[in-house]
Amino acid sequence: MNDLFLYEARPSVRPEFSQTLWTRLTERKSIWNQLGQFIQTRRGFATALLVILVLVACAQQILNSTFHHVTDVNGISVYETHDFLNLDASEELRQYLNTPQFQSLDDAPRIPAEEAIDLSPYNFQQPSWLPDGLELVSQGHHSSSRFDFAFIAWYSEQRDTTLFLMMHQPNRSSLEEVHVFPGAWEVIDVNGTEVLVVRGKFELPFDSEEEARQYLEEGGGQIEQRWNHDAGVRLKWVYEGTHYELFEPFVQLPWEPDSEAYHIPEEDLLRIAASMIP
Amino acid sequence: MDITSNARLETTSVNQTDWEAIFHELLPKVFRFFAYRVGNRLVAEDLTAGTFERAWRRRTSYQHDMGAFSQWLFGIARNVAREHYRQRSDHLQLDETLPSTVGRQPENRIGRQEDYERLANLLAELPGRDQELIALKYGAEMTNREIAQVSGLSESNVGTILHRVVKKMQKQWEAADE
Repeated sequence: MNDLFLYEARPSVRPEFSQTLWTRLTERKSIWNQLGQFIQTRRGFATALLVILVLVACAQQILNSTFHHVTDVNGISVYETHDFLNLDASEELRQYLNTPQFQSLDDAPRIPAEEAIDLSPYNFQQPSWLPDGLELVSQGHHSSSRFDFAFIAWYSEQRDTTLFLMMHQPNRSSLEEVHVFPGAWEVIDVNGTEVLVVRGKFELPFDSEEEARQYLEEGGGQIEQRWNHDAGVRLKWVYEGTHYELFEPFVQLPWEPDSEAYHIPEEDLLRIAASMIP
Repeated sequence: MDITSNARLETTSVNQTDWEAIFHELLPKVFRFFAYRVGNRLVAEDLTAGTFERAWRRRTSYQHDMGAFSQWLFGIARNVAREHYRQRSDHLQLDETLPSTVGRQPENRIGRQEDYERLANLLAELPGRDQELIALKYGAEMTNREIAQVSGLSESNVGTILHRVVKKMQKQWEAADE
């Protein structure tokens, strides 16, 4: 036994294994959807999905505030307010703070599909156009007593962002309601379908994690949210009875700079929407 | 052997990056690393697939630096191997890692198989770090410098450890012959 023997003893790669693996790598859907695992991106889809739920949950509580119903867009109710929102965000914030933030793909844990994601395929319109660099990373379904929606997520390494497309059937949930600062929205005709464009969003008013934790330590309670005009663009529309929502989820912590988190311009989001509306 | 020296790995732009060539260049190295590391062909294939699947999505980050991509890929492979050992308490044998092309004569094949089984047993007895270095050196065909970059050890330290480990394996081999 010597060096030469150690080199000679190496097994060869089976051609069928090589071919099969190459096919799997080049068919992204089979990798990301059929593995039954939800691979995390740099900041973590768990966080992103949680944030979606937090925002929706907050929206439900917002209903009791001083909002003015201004319009309906094919079943999407739009409410405006000049005032800041009042709500108790303690439970959502607690979850938020306890969700680990991931710094790299290698360090990211994997979430078993059965925990929240049903990877069975869904029948809905998918975009035929996407900006360069976006890769499908997951699609799934979230179902709970409060919300039920399917989603597709793309990730762009170059843009360092995640794009979410949510879809659901009309179910009279808060998913069908939009709460906006006056003037921060517009209805645009896209291939004959009205698309609601929301520019910015309400955010929790913490400038640091310490502030947020202090709020929790003091028992939570009513809190004022503030509108951030730079917090990205969100599109909502209804096509053939299905509600669609396209946006970059708020994957950063509330007190981190928002402006750096949104990298897909409004015109690109509208073009994506247009590619889904024949 | 320089794992990044192959001409097919040279790239000049996004469009010219031949990822299929890179895949076929690196696949045997990663697979053989696992074959030596875990001692079972099927497990090695599974771990190889997992490594590539984990790395492939972010490959474009390294399109202008294939050396960094290889290094990063083997960094993932090492982690995958460690995860494997954390998840499995039993250590599989190397009896399925035999090269299909070795031993053209039946009598040679029988002799070879015995040798490989002995090698498998020797590898299985090694501490994890030594086994990993053997796998990187003889499985992935890395130079000591490349192993140093991947492992965080100094190049001289890699050489020293490998020399000691191979000598030890040789002694054990010879002792079994006596």
